[in-house]
Amino acid sequence: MDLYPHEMLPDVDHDGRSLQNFAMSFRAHLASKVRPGTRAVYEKRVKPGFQQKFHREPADKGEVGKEMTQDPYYQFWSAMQRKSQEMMWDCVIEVIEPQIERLNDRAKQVSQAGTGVKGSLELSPDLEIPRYHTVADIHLQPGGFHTEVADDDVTAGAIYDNAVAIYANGALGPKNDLLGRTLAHYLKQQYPDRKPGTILDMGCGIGNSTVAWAEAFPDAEVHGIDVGAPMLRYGHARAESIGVAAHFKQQNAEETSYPDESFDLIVSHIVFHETSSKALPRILQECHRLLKPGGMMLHVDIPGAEGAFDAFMMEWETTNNNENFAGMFRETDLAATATRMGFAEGKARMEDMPRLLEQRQQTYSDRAINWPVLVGEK
Amino acid sequence: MTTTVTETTKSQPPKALRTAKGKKPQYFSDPAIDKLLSIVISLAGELSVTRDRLDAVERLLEQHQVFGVADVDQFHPSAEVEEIRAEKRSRFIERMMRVVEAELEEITGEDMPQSREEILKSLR
Repeated sequence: MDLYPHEMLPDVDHDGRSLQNFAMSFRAHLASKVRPGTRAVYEKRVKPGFQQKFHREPADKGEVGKEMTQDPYYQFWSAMQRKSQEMMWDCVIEVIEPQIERLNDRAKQVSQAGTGVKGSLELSPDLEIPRYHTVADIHLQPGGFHTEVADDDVTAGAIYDNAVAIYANGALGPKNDLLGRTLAHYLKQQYPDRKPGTILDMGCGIGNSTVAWAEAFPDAEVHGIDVGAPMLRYGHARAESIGVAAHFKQQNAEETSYPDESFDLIVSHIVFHETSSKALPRILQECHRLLKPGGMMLHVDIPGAEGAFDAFMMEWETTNNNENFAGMFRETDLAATATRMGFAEGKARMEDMPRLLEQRQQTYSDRAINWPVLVGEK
Repeated sequence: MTTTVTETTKSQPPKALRTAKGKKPQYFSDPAIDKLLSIVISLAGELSVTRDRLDAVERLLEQHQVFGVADVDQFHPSAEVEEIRAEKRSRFIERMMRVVEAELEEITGEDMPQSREEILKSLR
């Protein structure tokens, strides 16, 4: 899981790496050996128990959940899965905490390197952080994406970059950019005539997908917005260090400061399911405002599941990993919402994006599933 | 006195947060089991690191033909080494006991949601 070398990576000593390796091995064990057992437990123990009581099968994920959460095997897997997520953050923080000031200084140096700097960073310290970030820390990352623990802080970004590589067991690639690469590849395959000159990546975080878009379309002007300042500082320094030009701004995607019709293409990567039912339509309305006539939006997000059991298992992260909106998100008709918020009838639709995955992402599911993409044309 | 405290605080390196805000689910009927499981897995992590480190030391020793395992058995750490070990040990214990601290933070922290329902309400 060695990351692509850039100047914002922390130094990792022997024990730090060893504990991260343990966290990764433990998570891989849970994903390959323990989680798959929940299906057998459901089929052989939980479902028959339900059938005996009610003389029918559980009808939906709610009924499955009521029974499964009482099952000792499921309880133990679930508790260990939660612990493995907490441990993933902790073993990264253990390495980064002593280097916070050094990383913050380095980000400043890289970002202000003078003539070499290709992109930009624009922070808005007065921006109100949306409630869906502050009510609970998304993915259990302590402090979330927005909390700063020092001046000019990049800590949240540094933690995220290193932890997400452990989360995906390296499957996102050395630049943690699988989703950006996959979506850019999808655009080129499905819409070969589209050559966007201006691209906006919403909820860009540390810009791992933003950089992928800049690499896929080297002549385009690429912007990334996010509400988390530490993510953006880190992201800008990281992009500069990789040698890619991208413009990072601290903005809320519900209401940005860009003028109307600024972009040919607007993208986001598994962002919407972390927002709220108030924010999501507003973001789509903002997409419509920001797109040039003839422009396109592509938003890739988490898959749903068929069948009561798979639907229940897929909701694990909603309840246990602070993806609190994900359950409501899965019940949202995205194309209809986009149409309601300004896209012309028939101009917004869901498409299936095949995974580029060399290796299946380990915790969402034990089956390979396509990514759903909301496509909108103005 | 106040000045000293302020100066000390200023010179302290920044600390990262260690507990995620949000309502942690209870997995077992007895919450003590949740904590015990968490502690046990942390311990397994520490043990795994220690085994790797010992392995590294043993391989390096062998490579450099410095000394054998018997010499390690005879080793008596100096006061200075003991101090370093004590520091490392207390950080190890802090990590191991974080789950207990987390419960307290949920109770005492500012603006902590007390239920998932409360979180969902603010997302509606």
